[in-house]
Amino acid sequence: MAGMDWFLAILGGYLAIGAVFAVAFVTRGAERIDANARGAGWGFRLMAVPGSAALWPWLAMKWARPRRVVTLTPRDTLAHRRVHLLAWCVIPLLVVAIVAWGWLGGVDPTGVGAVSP
Amino acid sequence: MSATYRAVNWNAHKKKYDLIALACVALFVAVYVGVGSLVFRGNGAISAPVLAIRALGVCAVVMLHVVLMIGPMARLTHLAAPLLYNRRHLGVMTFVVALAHAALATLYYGSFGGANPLTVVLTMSGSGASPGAFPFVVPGAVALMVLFLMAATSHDFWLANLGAWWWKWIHMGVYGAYVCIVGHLALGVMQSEKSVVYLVMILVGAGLLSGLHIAAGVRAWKRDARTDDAVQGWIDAGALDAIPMGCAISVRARGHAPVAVYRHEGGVSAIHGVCAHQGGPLAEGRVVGGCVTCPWHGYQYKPEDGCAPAPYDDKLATHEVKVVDGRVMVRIEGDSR
Ligand code: HEM
Ligand code: FES
Repeated sequence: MAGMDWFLAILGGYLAIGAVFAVAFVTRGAERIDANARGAGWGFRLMAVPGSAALWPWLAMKWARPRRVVTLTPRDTLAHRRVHLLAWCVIPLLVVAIVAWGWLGGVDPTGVGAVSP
Repeated sequence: MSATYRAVNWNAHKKKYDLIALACVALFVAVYVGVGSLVFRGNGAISAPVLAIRALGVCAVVMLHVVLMIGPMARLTHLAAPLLYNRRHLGVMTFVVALAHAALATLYYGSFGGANPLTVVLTMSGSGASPGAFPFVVPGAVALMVLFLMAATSHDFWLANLGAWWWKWIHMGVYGAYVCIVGHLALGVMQSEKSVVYLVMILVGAGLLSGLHIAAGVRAWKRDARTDDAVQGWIDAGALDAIPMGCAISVRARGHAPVAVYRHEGGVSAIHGVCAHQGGPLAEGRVVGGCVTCPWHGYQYKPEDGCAPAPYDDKLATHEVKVVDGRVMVRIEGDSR
């Protein structure tokens, strides 16, 4: 319980700072790092709030040192596709393992107790 | 894409898509709660909030399966392409439904005893499980966080500023979320309801998903392996007749990115085969309204010069093409990776 309380408190603090940051970022910062956000409407700004609150440390860095976005010729997606393929060879094995664990009783990995059927 | 950001880039197709999806969600939840309250009556009655929690949870899981199936399905058949154009909205909707499930569950199960409701649900074990059993809500919460991150960064603003590479890796987190959901179910509901129904449904879902992904992946792999050995200069892309009007074939020279060779009303054009948006395979698209249209999210380019139509300013490289004895020849040189 105590561990979980701590974790939630830290997460809550992080997001609280993020919420304050997000207000400043969507009103002023977004257009500093991306010209396409200049003059954007309230719908867009509101929509950017959750992401800004979640990713605030990274955005703060970008805002402090805005760099021109360089557009490159888009790179091939071959590598990504291979990762997808590999992932879907592993996922079914994981699913079967987890389901078997649940079916056989969902034994607590800490060994404290087992689930009664 | 260069144009001032808008909240949602709706068009007629996307609006219809979203309305249908919303109607399906509402119908699913209503039918689940309705049937549940008719079937479980008297002694075994299930209260309305619990039914709603379950309906929303199951609905989110079904939606997650659909979202994960659309990609490989669109690569296997053009028929599924219209589903792909608006997958993003379906993903965001999945998050909203899952959030409603989690919020309701936290309020309902967590509000006993005065402790922080979130702590209560995150440390509880499934009903029917002994007190020390695995806290099944933890993997559910991890999955919800991943879905949140994906929904929150789904706008093109994030794609442009995170860069396609980071954005894609974040969004691949959905696979992790899926595995976590399996854990949430296997260690949660499967403990209290020891029926084979859940077991079979999870396994059938996983089988369908991996089967589709592996089939689509193997097909793409085979196609990518057909690279031409010529290092530079003119490459034979195949017979002109083999390209249906408004469609393309993909050619690849060793050490180069694929090139999409399009046949359209104005003749034959060769354009860089990787979409500027997220690297979609342009050779798998088609010509719509005179523009080459990416099969993934519908970015468009004029076949003659690779420029996106106004107001956008993306441009893809184009290649010289000529038709010799009915064969399409494409000039690929320099480093176009
Ligand atoms: C913080 C996040 C979450 C919390 C607190 C939570 C909580 C719960 C609880 C308490 C139950 C048991 C309900 C009951 O038996 O009456 C449950 C079941 C379930 N949850 Fe979640 N959940 C979370 C995330 C998710 C997510 C992200 C999904 C799906 C995408 C999901 C899908 C389900 C499903 C399908 C069930 C089984 C419903 C049934 O009984 O048929 N949950 N969840
Ligand atoms: S990859 Fe998104 S439109 Fe091409």
